Amino acid sequence: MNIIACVKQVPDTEAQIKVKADGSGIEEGQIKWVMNPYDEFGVEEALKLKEKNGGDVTIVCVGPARAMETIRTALAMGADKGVHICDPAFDNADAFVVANALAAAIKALPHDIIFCGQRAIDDDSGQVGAMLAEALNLPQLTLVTKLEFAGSSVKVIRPIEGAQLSIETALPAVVTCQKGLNEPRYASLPGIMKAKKKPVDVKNAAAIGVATDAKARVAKTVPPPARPPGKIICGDEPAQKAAELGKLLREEAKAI
Amino acid sequence: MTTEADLSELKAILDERRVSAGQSVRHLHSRDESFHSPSLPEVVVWPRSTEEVSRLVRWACRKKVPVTAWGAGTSLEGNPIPVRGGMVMDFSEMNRVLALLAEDFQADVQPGVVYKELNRQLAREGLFFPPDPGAAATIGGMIGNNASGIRSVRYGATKDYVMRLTVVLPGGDVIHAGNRARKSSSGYNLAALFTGSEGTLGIITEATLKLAGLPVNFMAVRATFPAVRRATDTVYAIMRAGLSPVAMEFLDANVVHALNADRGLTLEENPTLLMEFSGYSEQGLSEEMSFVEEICFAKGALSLDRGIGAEERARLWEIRHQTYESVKRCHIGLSPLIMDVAVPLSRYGEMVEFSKQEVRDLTAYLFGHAGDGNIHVHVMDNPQDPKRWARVEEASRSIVMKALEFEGTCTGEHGVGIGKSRFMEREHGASLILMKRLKGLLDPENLLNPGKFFL
Repeated sequence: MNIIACVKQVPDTEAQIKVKADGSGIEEGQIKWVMNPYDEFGVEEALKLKEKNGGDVTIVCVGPARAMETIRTALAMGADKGVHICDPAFDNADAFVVANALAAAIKALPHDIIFCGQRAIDDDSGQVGAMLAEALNLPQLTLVTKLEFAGSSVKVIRPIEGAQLSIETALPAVVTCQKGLNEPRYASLPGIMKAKKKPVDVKNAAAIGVATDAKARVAKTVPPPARPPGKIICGDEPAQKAAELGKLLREEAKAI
Repeated sequence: MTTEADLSELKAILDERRVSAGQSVRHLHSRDESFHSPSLPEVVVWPRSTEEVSRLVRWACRKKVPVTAWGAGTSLEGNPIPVRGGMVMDFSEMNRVLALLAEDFQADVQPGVVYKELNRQLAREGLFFPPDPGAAATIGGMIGNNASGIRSVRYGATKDYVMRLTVVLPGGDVIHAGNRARKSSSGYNLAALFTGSEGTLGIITEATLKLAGLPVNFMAVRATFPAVRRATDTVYAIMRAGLSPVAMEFLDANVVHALNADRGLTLEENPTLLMEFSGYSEQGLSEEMSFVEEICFAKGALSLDRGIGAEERARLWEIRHQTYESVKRCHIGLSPLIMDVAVPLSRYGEMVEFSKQEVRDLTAYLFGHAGDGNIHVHVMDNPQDPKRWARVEEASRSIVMKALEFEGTCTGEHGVGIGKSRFMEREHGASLILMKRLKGLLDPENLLNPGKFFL
């Protein structure tokens, strides 16, 4: 079975994000980079499928040179090989460019099932998986929380408001992964050691033959507006303070 | 009493927002998870650096104000309850991992880091900090208590992972004890002296921790037995067979009953052993599993469930992580007195049987880190009812006395705190005098976490 998992390198959720003074992006100097957590679910599901049914797992990633670390992390978790699409021309890529680049790389590989995170936690756009499926002309199963493999098809569950939707499709297909699908494994030390020797194919835009012109352009990056300061209710009597809190919640915050 | 002038001085050392004498803040720092009576501090402070801690301690010593360090308040023996009031130093704002030296298997951390959060960060490097008390404990609290947990049978306790400490001594001086070398024969082991001292000798403000590599694969076994002694004999047999479990837990039948009742499970309500092993290959673990299975059945196991892999481990072990909360939820309104004795492995079966007999008329649950010879007798009762509570205390006393008779200890991992100080003389004899002299040498005014250890 030929399994593909797409990954993106994103800032750690704990990282303190600072916007560049000129608004052209974020300061990258102090950031610790990690694998997008939703992509971790994809890698884990790919590895589980491989363990049960055989085959191999290929990691595909569009990103700058530092994104190689994230590919190595996926290889350390147990994936077999990687494709790193790395070109300065992708520096301002939008979801459309990334999806097309992934599609071009994946077309050149045998593929039965393709996993993506349902979104990346940096730009939160949530479009790449769906665009990738379109570009490859494959069925798409999005926001999946459970997956059952049955030879030439898969059956998945995705949550919808107040219920669950069960969808079945023939393979190949693109699956985007939601929290709850699995518990991603970590990379053990022997895994990290072995990952260093696994093959990663680095390709530029010309090698995969895709356009790098983005449809969307980031006009400006601005930090979220500063939160107004909180209000502290002073006093010694808890009952009095509670009454004051109730009054403020009702009249000022209009929360109750 | 802390006066308005005192508060102003403290606010000058820190800032307005990190000093509080507010009622709710004081209440939050007056009790831990134990049954011990709350005691309010006069003021709570939130330092952010060693320098600030040093200035606060200097101030407190000048004013003769007691100082008690506070991690997360998850302790079980009243360890951080400020019984003499004074200042509680809350470390929740010193909660950063300062450096991760993955190549050296080390991390430099501040004391307010919750160990589970540390492990979340370390997992990316394939590393972890092994002691795992279960609760949301901080590293500072774990060092203070020399905490351990279910994996200590393989990995040891917190003391085995403390390489270097930055400590603020009474008076405000700062020392660095220990080094980054994996071994050292140089001088008195001061880092070890402060580990387990429950904040009575100094305030730890930074620690260099030793780390371990995360295991590649897991194997887990759950076995039930017709009698307690059958289960405890199996523990001994497995340890003596040269197998090296990562964890080896005993649960008595009524603990399984509480889990079934609380979580809607249908596990067999018999004495149960939970075991975890780890290794490099599935093949090796599979061979080990057959051996464990053989030993369990030879010792009379009634049923056995097992599996290989992280998912199987999670499935078989899920109940253990719920034990404490499930028992608590089955007796809302009552408080737990948790005995924590540990004895040599060969005495474990006797110890468990004796304990079970001692608490037969009480609402008691027995479980423990069997592979460490550590047993928790968890009694649920009402500390406000003097007659009933006297009976609980009496059972606790006779169980501790039996453990000491077996050359064991009154506390395997929860610390001395308030509840175990009455056993210190019996356990340590003349050594207790030396401990008192050490305390007097470092803290002559008895200002650091006073009212603990010594009656």
